[in-house]
Amino acid sequence: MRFITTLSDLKNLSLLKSADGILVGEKKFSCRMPAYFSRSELIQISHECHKIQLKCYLNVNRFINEADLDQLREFLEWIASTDIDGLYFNDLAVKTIADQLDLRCELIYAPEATLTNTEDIRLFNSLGIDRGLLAKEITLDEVLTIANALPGKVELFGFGHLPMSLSKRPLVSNYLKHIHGDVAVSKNRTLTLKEEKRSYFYPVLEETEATSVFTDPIMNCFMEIPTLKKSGLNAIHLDGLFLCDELIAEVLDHYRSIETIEQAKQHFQLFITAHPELLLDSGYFYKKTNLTKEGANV
Amino acid sequence: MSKIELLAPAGDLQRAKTAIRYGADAVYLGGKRFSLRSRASNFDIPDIAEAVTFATLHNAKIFVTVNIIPHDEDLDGLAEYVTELERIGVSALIVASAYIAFVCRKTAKKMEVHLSTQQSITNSAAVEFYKKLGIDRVVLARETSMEDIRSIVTTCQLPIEVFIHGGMCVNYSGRCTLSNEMTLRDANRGGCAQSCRWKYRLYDQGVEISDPDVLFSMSSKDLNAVRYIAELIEAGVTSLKIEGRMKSAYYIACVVDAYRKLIDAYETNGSISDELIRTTEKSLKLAENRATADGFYRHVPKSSHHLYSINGSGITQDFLGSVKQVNTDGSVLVEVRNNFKTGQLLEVFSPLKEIRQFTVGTIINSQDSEITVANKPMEWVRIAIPFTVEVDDFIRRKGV
Repeated sequence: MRFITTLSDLKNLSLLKSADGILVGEKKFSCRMPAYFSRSELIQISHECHKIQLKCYLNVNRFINEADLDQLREFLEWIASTDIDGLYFNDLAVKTIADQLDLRCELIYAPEATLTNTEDIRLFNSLGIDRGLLAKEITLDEVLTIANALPGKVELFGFGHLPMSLSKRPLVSNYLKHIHGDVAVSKNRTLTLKEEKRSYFYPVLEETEATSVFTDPIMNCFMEIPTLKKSGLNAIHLDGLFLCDELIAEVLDHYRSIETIEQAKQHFQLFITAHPELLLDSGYFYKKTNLTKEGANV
Repeated sequence: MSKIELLAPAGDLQRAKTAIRYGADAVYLGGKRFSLRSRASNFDIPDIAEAVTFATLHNAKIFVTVNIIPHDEDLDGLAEYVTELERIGVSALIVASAYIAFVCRKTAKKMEVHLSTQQSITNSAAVEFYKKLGIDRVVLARETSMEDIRSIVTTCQLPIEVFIHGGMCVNYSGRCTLSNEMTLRDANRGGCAQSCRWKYRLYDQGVEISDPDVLFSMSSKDLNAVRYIAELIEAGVTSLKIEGRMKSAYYIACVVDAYRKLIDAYETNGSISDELIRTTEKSLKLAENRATADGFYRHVPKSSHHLYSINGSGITQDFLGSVKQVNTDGSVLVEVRNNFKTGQLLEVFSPLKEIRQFTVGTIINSQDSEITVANKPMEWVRIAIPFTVEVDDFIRRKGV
């Protein structure tokens, strides 16, 4: 099983050298990434990754407007000219155009909330998509069933704030304009939302054509690493959005070292002792989200 | 140019029949399994069969939503269910999962397979991907602009369907799990708790920057595309879809009737007059409704497209009742929904007819007593209406 981490600054690449791959953002076609890089920076990052035997992946996770298809085509043509190893994509336009261009890099479908079962991934795989990044909203049992049914074809989100929504609207700007007239949105990634009945402060991020709300707790899988390593899972992702490369590197080193449940407990204890400020949970691993209105505590 | 389809929602058999009587070319509804909108009184197979029979008699079609994003545990019995829907004459299935699309295509060759807006398709290259899977029609994301719709229709060989009226998810459909996190209800399996419409305090670095009297919300105004119908027809869109499987029969009647008149006017005259647009906008306000806006058709929604101070639907009191029985003496039994009284000027809203007005005379309640005010919801009262009406016609306050 491999580990893929985000990168917010090239100078931190050496911290992440124990990863198997780096996932980076690009200025036009990525969203919700710790950082966005220019084409020349991407070439440099890819080059530096390969020098230390890391794969370099690009996150093309924006929805593509019809009007942007020509730019996407030109971008994928550019990708073909680089040694970037693969693309994570949310919009199937990427697959269509990659096929038209006979793009020879790895293609990983990452629609986040909609890859929830074995058969969808098997089908996408048969259509030439190399792997799928599972929805975060499925249980550990479901993850293992899918990963074992499709060994090497499935990846999983394993650390970070989980995105809960993706809107094309500038939700924060619109609100601030409504109450104040016109106010610039903080670019510091420090905005949070709090619902009256809940104790959480949900990070909210407004970017060009994308506003997202995230979970307050940071999802982690320290305790599940031994089981996941024995499954057919291809990779686990560590996402540094709202966090820092140093923290991701620390988690990565823990995850790398864990082989047994005993070790998992020890490493988790070390981690939470070092970071008592972090609010952690296990995401949806043990939470089924199949309640109806009658059964839910709204 | 082929005739454009007006596609309406229905949460039960009565609403399916209402939609068809008021002019829908096709109705979409959810079965008991594999469908979103779990609160929308989903249909069992005999109900769907009856809807198909009624639709066929009126030259209309029935589509069934099979649009959950399934987990492995949800897939049992899918092929059998699809086969049953084909056997009873359903015209199309609306799917969101590629695998469900694949099974539908393989299992039921007589039915069309339409890709749901849950996949948030916003461009022709994504449409092309699903064409290769055997999809017959794609419902575009509500985030698609008019300009992009025009280009997609021109570029694609697949029929394109767009939303024209009703509730707007503030997030890309299928990509929102606010409800999962906050209530353990999976929006992609019919459990959406509409957490986006709740109130939130907004903080920057721990300091509140929201207005305590007008808190942050992601709640969107509903979509209203009355002013875009002519453009959509001219763009070559195949189907115009109304949202609202959980809406009332009266709401569906109002909205279907309004858009039917616009489409018919365009097909008769080659254009839609400003006067008809204004009249239609007024008539839609008689439906129980949230405030509306034009979604993404012209530009990305601004603050005026959001609902910050009010939470949800503004239910109008204009719908007073529906005709349940027409007696041989010319009197009618009306099921009361909102108050009306003797001497009040009311109107009858019938399918494909002009609005007709009458003044309420004597009102006889269910105990056979004369009353001056009908104010018990669901009671059947007898009144005289001085022209011919039919069962299920609606009675409302004088409106437009």
